[in-house]
This record gives sequence, structure tokens and C-alpha cells, in this order.
Amino acid sequence: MEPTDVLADEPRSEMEHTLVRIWQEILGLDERIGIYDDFFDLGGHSLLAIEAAIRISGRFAVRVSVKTVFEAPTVAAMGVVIAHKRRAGTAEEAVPWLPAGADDLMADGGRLP
Amino acid sequence: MSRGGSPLLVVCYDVGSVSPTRMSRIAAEAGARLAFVCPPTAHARQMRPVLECHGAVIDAGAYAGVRALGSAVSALHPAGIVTFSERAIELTAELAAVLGLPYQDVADIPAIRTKAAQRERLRKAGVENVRYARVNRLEHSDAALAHIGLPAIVKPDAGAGSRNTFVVRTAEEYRSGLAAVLSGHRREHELIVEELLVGRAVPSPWGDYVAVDCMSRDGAVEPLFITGRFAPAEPFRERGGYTPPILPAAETERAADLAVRAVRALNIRHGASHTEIKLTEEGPRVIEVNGRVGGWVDDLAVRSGKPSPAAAAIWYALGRTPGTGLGMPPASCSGTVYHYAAIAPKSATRVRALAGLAGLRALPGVHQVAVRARPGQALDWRDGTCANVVIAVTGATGSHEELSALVRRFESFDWAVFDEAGGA
Repeated sequence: MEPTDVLADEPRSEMEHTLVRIWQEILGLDERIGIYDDFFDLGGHSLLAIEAAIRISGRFAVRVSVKTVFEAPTVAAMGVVIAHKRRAGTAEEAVPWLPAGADDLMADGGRLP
Repeated sequence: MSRGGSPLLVVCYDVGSVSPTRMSRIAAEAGARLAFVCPPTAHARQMRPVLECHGAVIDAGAYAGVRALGSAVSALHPAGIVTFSERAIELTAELAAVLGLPYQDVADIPAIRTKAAQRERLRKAGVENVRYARVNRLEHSDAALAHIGLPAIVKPDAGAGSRNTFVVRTAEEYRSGLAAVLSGHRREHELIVEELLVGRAVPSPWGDYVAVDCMSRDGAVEPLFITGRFAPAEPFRERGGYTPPILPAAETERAADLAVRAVRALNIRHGASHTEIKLTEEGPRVIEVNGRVGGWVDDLAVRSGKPSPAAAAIWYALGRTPGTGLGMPPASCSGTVYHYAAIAPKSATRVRALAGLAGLRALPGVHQVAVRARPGQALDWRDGTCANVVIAVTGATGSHEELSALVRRFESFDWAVFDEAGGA
């Protein structure tokens, strides 16, 4: 077999590349993310999941709720959800809500959920 | 109580709580449902989409007072009430009183929530006696220092997360520190100046204090979990904890006994409490008591295979006993579990760049490196611990020596660049 340096968890489509970039920006990561890496294992938490839902909804013009981020916490799984929603053209989930000044919340003390 | 079906637990939710996902899992194990009562705060509003994934959400701000709120909540027939948020303790007590559910007495809340009232209660109970004074104006502050003496520590009278907290060793540090926190948009309205309890010398990175989490049920108080703390970052910002602490068994018992006496003195009759204990040459002394599960504590307990304080709080609030046994873990064992918060230097005003986190993640003993302050985020030491955590690192090591070496690596800060006060 020919040796290969293509990693098995590299993004396989433009959509997955975009999702990886969104994950990296939200999580503040300067390193490679695999499509099977879990958003929450990489340091994601509830507030960041809300941010992820909003960015994904905006970027792919589909409605993704924060619950979906909890249920599909990898790039691979989210890609499947987005593709399905695009095909179905459904809008069954509400767009999550992020008030202005959300970043200030991170400076509000206490544990991060 | 709940009418048929599964019991309903009311959670007064606000900043600093255990994660809703974690609460939801515990409630599911207990066969219970959750309803979140949210005060009208920015954090609670922000978290609403997440809370709605795990239960009903009740907006406390929509009701004209606690009695009206209680009437609405009572229609759900709750079986219990609990909070994991320092800021929601008072609301929880008031709502519990209206609902007739077990929680702390409203009359005890000042001693549980505010430091001066707590010091007074502990003094009267003969548990602890520390010189203190309240300060709210710079021009009155010298008299307070004359009464307290140096070294001293300054804290908000009601606060959490090391916000606007600093140690002073000279009168000049005291005056400049007070000027910084009694002015500006982050100003405090009421501070307490306390005699600094001087801990015994311990090598870096270990702190000279521990925290004891206790669980109360109908006034019976039981120590549940003890956490070693890392030395705080300047001027006094907590860096997280580890278990087990480096503490002889006899001293662990003395610290736990003192925590139990302090919790009893404050009349924390139901649920969780978190008591910080200074380890001095003369023995353990009470730093402060909080009427909730301590930050990082539940995560440390779960990852070290010990009884979960969050689970105990939820089961107890439901009037039940957790399936897993309670009780303090052994004082020592091989290996550690830790949660380390890398705090930006006091002079840092903004995160300019983060690079090399992959290198930290690859270190043996590191399980997760979570970015808490992304590049561009403004920093201010006065905002305390959480607002100045750049990365939160969790993991486990085979020994305290290995953990010490890891912390030295985190604290090298070769993975971060900051803008500094007065700099570029």
C-alpha cells in the first residue's frame, strides 16, 4: 500500500473546512481540529455552544439550535445535520438568541457552564 | 410535592452555577425534572437557550416580587429547591420560604452572603476571631487600617471569584488599591478589610489553604470533599485546585472539623457549603464560608472517583439520599487530579495572541486545555479570577511532583502574548 499523509479525520468537504474554522475561532485554538473531535472536549461550554449555533446558522443559512450543538458536537456530525436541513429545507428549530454584550458575560465571575 | 410522575426540583440559576447539562444528568439519575428560576441578569438571559434544553425556565423578573413568583412556581408542585450560584442564594431562600421547602432561613442569609456579618457570627459562636472593618470611602479608610494592622486583605463585602480582592503589606499598597477599586466603572460600594491570616510557608505552586465542601441535611453537617488550592496569582486571584491536598490525615480532620463548626455557626441547615481554611503555624483558621458548592470542586470530585457534591446537593434537595455513599475521601493516595486556571499577569490589559497550546495539550498529565480569554479580550485584575483566566487546564498526574512541574510549564506563559498597562 502506498504511504499516505492524509489524516483520517481531516475535513472532507468545503462545509467541513468551514465548520473547522468556526470551531477554531470559537474555541480560540491555533491548532488543527479533526472532524471527529468533540466541541466540548476541546474546551467548549454552553455559552460557546450558543455562539457556535448562531455562527453556523448564519454561515450556512439553516436554523441550528444550541440543542443541535449538544447533540452533534463534532464537525462530522454537524455537517450531516446541516446537509440534512438543507435538503429538507426545514426550519423546525428556532434560531438561538444572543443578546448584545455577550462577551461581557464571560467576565462575570463564577464557573463557566 | 409533585403530583404523580417524577418529582420537580426548582433550581435558582445564575452565574457561577454547575453546568445545566451536569444538573440535568444528575436529576435524570434521581428520576427528577428541573425547572430553572432565572433572575433578570445578563448571564441568565444569555443561558436561556441552554436551560430550555434541560427543563422549564421561569423568568423571575416577570413577577411583582417573590410572593407572586412563589405562587407561580407552587403551581408546578416542586419537591425541592437548590442553587449553585452565590448570587442566587438570597432569592433561593426567599422563594423556599414562600414555597415551604427546606433551605436556609432568610434571616441567616446576611451571615452566609456578606463577609462582615459572617465574621461577626463566627466570632460570637467562638469559631473564629479575625479583626475586620468595613470601608466604603477612601477618606475613612486610614482608621480601618489602624484598627486592622498590616498585613491585611481587602475584599468586597459580598462577592465571589476574587473580584477586587488584594493583599496589602504597606499603607501605600492599601491606599492605592482602595483607590483603584472604589473608583471607575467596576467600583465596589462596600469593602471589608481583614487582618491577613498568615499561612505557613509552602513551596510553589501550592497554596497555604484548602477548601472543605460540606453537605447539610436538616442541620446535620457532614464534610464531603477537601480540595488543595494552588497559590493565588497577584494580587489575590485563585488559580484552581487539586486533590488530594498535601496534608497529613490529622490536619485534614482538624480542617474538616473547623469547617463543620463554621457551617453550623452560620446555620447552613440544608445543602452544600464551601469553606476555605488557612493552614497556619497555629492550626487551621477560617478564611470564609460560601453557601454553595465550590468552584471546580464537583469536577475534581467526579474525576477523582469521589462522591459528587453537586449530586449530593440535588438528591438532598429532593429529600433523598444519593445511591453513592458520602463521606470524606482518604487523606492521601497516589496521583492527583487537578483544575488549573492560568491567570493573566496583573499588568496585562489584553490578550494579544495565543500560540503553542497544542504543545501544552500534548504534555503527559494534561487532558484538556480550554481557552477562556481569546485574543483581543480585555483584561483587568480587578475583575477577579474568572475574567482573567486565559486557559483552564484539567488533567491528572501520577504525583504531586509531576503536577508541580506541569504548573511551572503553564506559568512560563511562553504560549501567550499580552498587551500591558503602559506598554505597547
